[in-house]
Amino acid sequence: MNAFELKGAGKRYKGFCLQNVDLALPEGCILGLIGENGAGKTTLIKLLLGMIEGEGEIRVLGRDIRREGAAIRQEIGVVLDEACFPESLNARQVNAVLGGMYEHWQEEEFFRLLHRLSLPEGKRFKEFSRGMKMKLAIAAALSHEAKLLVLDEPTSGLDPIVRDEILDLFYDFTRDEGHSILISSHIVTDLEKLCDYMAFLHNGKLLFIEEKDALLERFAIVRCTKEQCAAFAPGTVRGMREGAYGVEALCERALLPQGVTAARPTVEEIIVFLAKGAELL
Amino acid sequence: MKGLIRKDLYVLFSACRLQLLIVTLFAGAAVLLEEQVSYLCALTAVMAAMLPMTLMAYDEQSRFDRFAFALPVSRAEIVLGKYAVTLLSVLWVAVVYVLGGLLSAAFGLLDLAQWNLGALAGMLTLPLIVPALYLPLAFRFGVEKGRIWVIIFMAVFGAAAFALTQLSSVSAEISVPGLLEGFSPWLLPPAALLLFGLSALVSVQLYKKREL
Repeated sequence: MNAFELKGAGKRYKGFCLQNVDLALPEGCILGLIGENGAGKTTLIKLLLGMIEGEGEIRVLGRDIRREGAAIRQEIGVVLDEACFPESLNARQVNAVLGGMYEHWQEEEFFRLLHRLSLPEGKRFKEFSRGMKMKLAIAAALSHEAKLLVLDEPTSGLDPIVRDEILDLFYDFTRDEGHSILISSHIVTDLEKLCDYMAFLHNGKLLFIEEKDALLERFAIVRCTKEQCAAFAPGTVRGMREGAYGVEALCERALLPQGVTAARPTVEEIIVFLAKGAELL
Repeated sequence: MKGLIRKDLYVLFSACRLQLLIVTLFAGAAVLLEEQVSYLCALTAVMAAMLPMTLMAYDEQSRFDRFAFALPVSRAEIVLGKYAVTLLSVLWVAVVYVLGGLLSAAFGLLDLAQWNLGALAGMLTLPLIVPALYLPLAFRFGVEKGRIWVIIFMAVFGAAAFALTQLSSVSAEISVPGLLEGFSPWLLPPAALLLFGLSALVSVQLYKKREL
């Protein structure tokens, strides 16, 4: 079963349009959603969670999110780009509030995570640092037997130590084969460490959704002259950067002529090249 | 919805402590200070009427309103939760006033026969009517725009009341006491409650269209 499936999903705003997104995540996998600011990542997540109305078919954990939104969200752990608890609440009160919403709320697990993350139980939320706030939001998302975690930039603005702590929690979550994660982030290195699949949104369009290893195999970085680059078969070059000593090009590895020296790109390099011009899918 | 009500009560008892204390003190004082009863009742009612608005403002400030859409609650539950907390705050005013009256009578500070229970009707009515008018707008447009509409409503209501008192001084046929003659103040709370219920239904429909 797929953790979620989007077919022809879209949303129109004045001045922005998320267009015809087809995306599916197999159960037990982690999908990293990449894209620059305003690419449509948050809009896509809102559609997936049934927070906004849009076009297309959206099924989460096998059910239609539009028809059974609240019931499906019982099984989804959500962390938005900000921890959105009222500032006058403390962690004990957050436990009581969410315990009144989630059918399978696990108080013991919540307090165990608070302890593991060194979060105080009685301190007001407004006295928390950003890192502590995000850790509390993640502890809450992991304390109600969720099958799917949806994380919108959960590590942005956090220092590397806190980020590492948080990534460990996600690793633990995915030890259960039935658990899946959708995570959006600007920090591509985090996603590269964590994810099985990568999806790239650019200007409201999904440029690719691919297994991370296949993606890294598919592309190659070639450093050569502009003339050499121009001689490659049509469709080989997906993006190019000119420098003083030649060009650096992102190429389809399978289409490269034999004998060309090619380096393995990072995911970050792939998306930077693609964002500057190429259209995939 | 239980979780949403809990959240609002926590916010009420922590962030809105002062407002709640003033409501409680004024409602209690209104029992004893008979000469000031209209003034104290009006203040209690206005403060109580503002509580749901304050709670919504805190939700917006922390962006909990947006987060709530990602929680396992329907939009109708979000709306009805806020109306339920409003009713609880009105109930609190009634409890304080009635308990205050009974305690004062027990200590010989108040003659129950002379007790102005009509003031309680007013204190229950205004905190229902104002949110009934305000909440649908706040749910549709947000707290800030909703607040502007409340000010407009208040201004229109105040101008109408002022015009009525001016007319009564000009013409003996139009007098406020005359208009209110035979009118039981106890008709007001049920009417306000009906309006409050209708308002909740409207808010549910309007909130379904809201995007955050």
